Amino acid sequence: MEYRHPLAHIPLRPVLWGFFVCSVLTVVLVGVRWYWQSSAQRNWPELQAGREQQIHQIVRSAFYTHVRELLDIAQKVKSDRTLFDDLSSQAPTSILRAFERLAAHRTGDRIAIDIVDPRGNVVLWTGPSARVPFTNSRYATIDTALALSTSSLHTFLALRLPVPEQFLTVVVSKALEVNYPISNRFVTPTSFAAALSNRIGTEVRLLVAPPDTTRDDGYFYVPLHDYHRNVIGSVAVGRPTVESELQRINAQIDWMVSSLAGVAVLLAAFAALVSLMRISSAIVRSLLLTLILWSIRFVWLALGFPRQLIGTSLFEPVLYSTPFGGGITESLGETLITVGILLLNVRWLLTEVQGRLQEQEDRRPVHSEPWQLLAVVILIVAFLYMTHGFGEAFRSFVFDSTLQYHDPTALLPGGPLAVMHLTILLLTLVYLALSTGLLFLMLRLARRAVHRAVVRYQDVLVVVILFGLVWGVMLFLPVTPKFPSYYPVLMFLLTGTLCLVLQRIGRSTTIPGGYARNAIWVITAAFVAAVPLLDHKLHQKDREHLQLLAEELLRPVDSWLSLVVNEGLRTAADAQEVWRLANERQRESPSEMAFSLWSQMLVGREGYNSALMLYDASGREFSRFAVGLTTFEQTEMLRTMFNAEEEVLQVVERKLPTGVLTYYGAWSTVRDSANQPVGFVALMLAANQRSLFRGEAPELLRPLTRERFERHFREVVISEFQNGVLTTTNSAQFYRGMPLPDEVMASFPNAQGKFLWQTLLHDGRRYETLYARDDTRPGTVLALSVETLDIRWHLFNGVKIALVYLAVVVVVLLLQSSVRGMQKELQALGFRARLLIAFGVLTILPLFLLAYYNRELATERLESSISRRLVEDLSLLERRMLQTFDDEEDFLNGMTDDYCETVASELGIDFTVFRSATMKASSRPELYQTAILDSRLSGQAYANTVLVGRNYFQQVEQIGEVPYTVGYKPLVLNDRIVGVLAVQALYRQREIDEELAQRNVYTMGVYALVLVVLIVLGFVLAHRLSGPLRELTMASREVARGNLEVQVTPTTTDEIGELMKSFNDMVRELRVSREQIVRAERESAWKEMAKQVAHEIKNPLTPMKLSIQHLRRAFHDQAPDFPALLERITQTVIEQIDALSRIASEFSNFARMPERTYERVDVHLLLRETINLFREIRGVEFRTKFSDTSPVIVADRSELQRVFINLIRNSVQAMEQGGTITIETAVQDQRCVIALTDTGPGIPPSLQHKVFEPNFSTKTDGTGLGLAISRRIIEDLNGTIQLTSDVGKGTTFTIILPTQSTPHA
Amino acid sequence: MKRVLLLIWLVAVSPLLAQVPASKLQLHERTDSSHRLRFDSQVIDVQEHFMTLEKDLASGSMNSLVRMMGQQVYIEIAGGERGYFSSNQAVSLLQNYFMQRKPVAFAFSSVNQRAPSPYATGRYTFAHRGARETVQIYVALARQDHRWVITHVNIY
Repeated sequence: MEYRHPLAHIPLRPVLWGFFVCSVLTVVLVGVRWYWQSSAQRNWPELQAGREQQIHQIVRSAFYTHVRELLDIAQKVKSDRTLFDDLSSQAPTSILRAFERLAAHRTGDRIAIDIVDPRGNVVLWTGPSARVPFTNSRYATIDTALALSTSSLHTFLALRLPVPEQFLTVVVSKALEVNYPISNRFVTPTSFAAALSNRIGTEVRLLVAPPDTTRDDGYFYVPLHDYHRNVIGSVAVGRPTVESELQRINAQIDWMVSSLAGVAVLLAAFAALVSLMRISSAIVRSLLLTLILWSIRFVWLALGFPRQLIGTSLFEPVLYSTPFGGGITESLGETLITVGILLLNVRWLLTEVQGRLQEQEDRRPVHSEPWQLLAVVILIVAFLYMTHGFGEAFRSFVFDSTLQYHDPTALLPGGPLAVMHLTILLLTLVYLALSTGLLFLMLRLARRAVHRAVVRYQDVLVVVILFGLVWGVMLFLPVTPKFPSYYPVLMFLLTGTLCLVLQRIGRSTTIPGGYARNAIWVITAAFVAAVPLLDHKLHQKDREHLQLLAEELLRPVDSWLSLVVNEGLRTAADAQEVWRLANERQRESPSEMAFSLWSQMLVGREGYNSALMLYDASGREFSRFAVGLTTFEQTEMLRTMFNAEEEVLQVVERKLPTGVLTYYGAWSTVRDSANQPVGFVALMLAANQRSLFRGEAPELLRPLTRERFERHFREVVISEFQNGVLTTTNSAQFYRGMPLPDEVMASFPNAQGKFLWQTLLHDGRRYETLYARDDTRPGTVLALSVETLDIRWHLFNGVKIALVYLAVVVVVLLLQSSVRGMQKELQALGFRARLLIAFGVLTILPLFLLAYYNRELATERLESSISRRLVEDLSLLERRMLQTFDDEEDFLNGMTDDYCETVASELGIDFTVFRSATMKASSRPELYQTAILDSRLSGQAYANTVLVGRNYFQQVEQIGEVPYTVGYKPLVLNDRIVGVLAVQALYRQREIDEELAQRNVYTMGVYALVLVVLIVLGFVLAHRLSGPLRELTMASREVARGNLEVQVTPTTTDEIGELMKSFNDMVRELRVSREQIVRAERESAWKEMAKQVAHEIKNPLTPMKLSIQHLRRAFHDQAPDFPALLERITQTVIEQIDALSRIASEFSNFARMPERTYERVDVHLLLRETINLFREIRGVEFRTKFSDTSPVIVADRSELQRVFINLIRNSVQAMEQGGTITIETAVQDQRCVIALTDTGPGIPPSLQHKVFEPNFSTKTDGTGLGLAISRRIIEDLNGTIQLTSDVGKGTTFTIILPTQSTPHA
Repeated sequence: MKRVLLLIWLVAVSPLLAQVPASKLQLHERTDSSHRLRFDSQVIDVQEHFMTLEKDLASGSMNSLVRMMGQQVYIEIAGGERGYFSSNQAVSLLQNYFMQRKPVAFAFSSVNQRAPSPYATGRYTFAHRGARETVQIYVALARQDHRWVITHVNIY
């Protein structure tokens, strides 16, 4: 018989059509690609001209998009009457409003808006100042103008829109390009050219000059025009080559081919899968399915699907990557797909295995097979290797990824981390499915191996003993997987517990998942398996990173930093034009020369705090650029450098209370082509921190090691011990003279490596400490300590992961609901489950509210703290200024960069002083000179401090990509505002994060405990509430089965207690009624039986009596044919006696069944065997629709087969003209439902109630007892048999039998 | 027979999950040979490593990079990724980078063989979008577990 899985019924036509369409399109695209390649190579000159024309249009379109943006802003400003009214009122508060209104018109950080009067004075402004090339005289014109201009750092696009009625001009500008490849740390990256280059596919440069058509340098130029068709600049575009064009077009075609082919493969695989379902051999089916699934995986990988379609960072190796499996785990996205396919594969295979094993269990006689213990041992070895693989996968998830698993500032993990957690969850489910499957197999084999029961749970005992033995032996073998010895034992226990739970709830024997009730247990088990393991691996990685930091610190010279210095010197030496100008005294802007050189150096690109000094041939310094280094630091370093030989790297350490600062520097002579000295260059950089301002929380040079810990908000304490005594530390907790712990002293001389881990207890705190021996300095030990994370951190992380898992469960349930319908899904959930869900929702909701509240509170507190600190700093500076300057003139003369530097060093605060709206002096002048910071006071700060006279104003500004808060305070001398003091606070975001992390961990960690308690309480409460209802439900089921002896025990006196009492009363009443009915039925049955017996006996008796009378008469009459008559009549009498005997047998059979032999009966198997008995009957077709799993019931096999035979025979006999008999099975709530439907003439409603009565038959040769006996057999099995029939359509007999329950004897 | 097949399948599938980083395996293989080196031979050893790297990078091969990658490598690619990565991630990142930029020429222009952190830099010329472009590549080695491994790659 052909096997038909439910999937096999899915119509394939749409799938095949989809496959066909995708395949054809793929082939067409491949053809187009090929045609395009050959055609492009043949006709490149014509194509190139066309492409260049196209590029012209793209460039112009991109440029005029920016122009339109500026024009839109300018027109909005122009039409803002209120703004101009406020501006013209001259009242300070009105002007402040005008500044605020103007700021509201800005659409981005790079946009600046100025309002200029006819003399060229900027009267209102917002955004950074741009070097706009409109001459003063032209501001009086009424024309709209456009210009491109460049400063030392940016190239701007500016638009001028006159407002004639106000005699003013609106100038809107936008930074289009950063001119140097300076680190993002200093400059917000923006590039018009780079965006165009990505779009066009060749190199692009923006030039503030007309096109140079004379040179053939591989570029063509697109002129950029203003409104009067004047050329204001140009874009140089690398000429497209045939290779660049092919690459560009191919990339687009490949994207489409990949997507279409990926979908085609999926559709083909689906069609193959559906066809596969018709194969009856489970092994062949499983092997083919595995082949199909992994073929999809590898074909997708080769096609780049869905990587090319989605194209997010999930498919980049920067988040996660391993070379495992030829690329199937090369990124987070690919790994998720792989694990998903693995889960599908494993789930399918285990379902198949379960089905086959169940079948075998039922068919095969159970006898002892000791050899199967060997199979148990093999399975244990498989389990150990699988557990090892699971552990290694986790190691990879942690070590091969840059994801920050523990981010205490966020309650919910970000997208990539959530995907990683999902991947981990799926892999854990695979592991649990396989390990529970293996354990069930082990138990089954153990049961078979030791068949005779000696002790209770002996199969479990056998498996546990064997596991202990195998694991014990493997510990000493070289091939043993390497992991902590307790780890597989823990996993074995976890798997065992899960098996026990799954068996108890009776949902599954091998495969977790699939049912909501199972899912809760399986996900809980996955959480227990995954989270501690993840935590353990993260701890290992933290240790590895601390060791890496120790190695960095112990390294005498960092080769990269020395290279950066050397490369810098080389770049400076190569810039011959700079030195020529320097020696010819053509230095218009000396500071810009050093900045320009620095910007092109590796040191600028890398964004190090550094200083570059240029000296001419006579040794005079003519240009200097420094960033993040104080004058003192520069002077100290220069002294050291110039005391050493040229080009010899100097590494200088400064020991501060906060730690050790290291500087790298060197100087060299610059020579011209004739090898004559033309100047000198000195370059220095700070090696281990990058704060721009004093007092700012330092950024770290490299984005890991220390930073990693500090993102956990755990400070890395670095201490140095000399001869067993602490000499330097950056910790306030540790102290100089602190002794090196004795155990470290004792261990180190013997330690094999130079690292030693110890736990250090100090001041009631526990530190994990790495001691590192410095081999270059005998007697020196470096200690790196991080405070051990306490339980609250682990709880907090546990809660976060639990939320992700919960989200997965919710998504799965929602998906199921969308398929089945929410109403049905909710109905499928029990009362207890619904109560639990309600408890869960009620306990989790406050968590989110608390997280939101924490964030708001942390931000508010920190902002207020930062404001307080800025106010204090500004007041301190103000007091210092007031002590220095007596009047405005004194201020104007004395306020210099040097003065600011001195005050900044003295007070530890970097600051800037503005005069009116222009920078007057700063302790960091280089940042303003190079336009990294804007030398124009922001419009709102100016209005608030200078115009309105507010004593303090703060706003958020930006350096590079880092937002920071700036505090402003007017400096008043003799009741007159002479300037504005500005102090930056770059520590803002970091401190908010620190505060947030602490609050999150300390409150959420405790909340996690509360959450666990609440969920346990909820579970208990739900159990108590639903307990009586479940008891009532079970009792009702018992009543439905006919057991009227059942009683429930009311435990409360509330409504539920009343309901239980009423139920008991109802059952009692039912019992009485049933007894009465039974009595009446019995009497009626007796009467009926007597009537039937009398009738049946009478029937043969009458002919017998007549025959015998006839015989007697013939004897008396001495009839001549008496012998013949005697022969005939005795024959008749014998026949009638036989009939009587048969009737007696039938009645006997009806009254008393033969002794039954109960056994486990596979219903599907029995039905198939029964159907086979009727196969030969012509004109009758049999159809089967069996459930996925074959129901097993306990019954007398031959007796049950008689029932099936009886029903099928009745149907066959009813369908004289032939027809179809359909047999369906289903398993619902531990009951097996068998429905047998024929297409016969049906039974009229008036007769339907009689069919199960004895002696009722519509057939001439029937006894009328078949169906009555069948009903008796079914009812003895605690089942029911029902009839439904439509005249003219057919009849259905439905048998419902309990699966695996004890029948009535 | 079917049960035997099932057992074979289960035993075969479980090791598939066992991901042992390639570098870890190589570490054990190379320990013995590296241990025998003396200080004076280290310079030659480093030189050989750089020569192999140079040859491979020039021919577009990743073999020596894969073989020599340390457990944690600092990678910095101009306009791209920056940070410490595991050897597996570092290999993938560099593989992606070099796959998109097929080499035209590569040679180390300066090599510093002095311990403890020998390094080399060189100009890498590649074909990209139909044009030739160049970057500078810096590679630093360090001695870990008795062998030289790459600890820092900077493409700038």
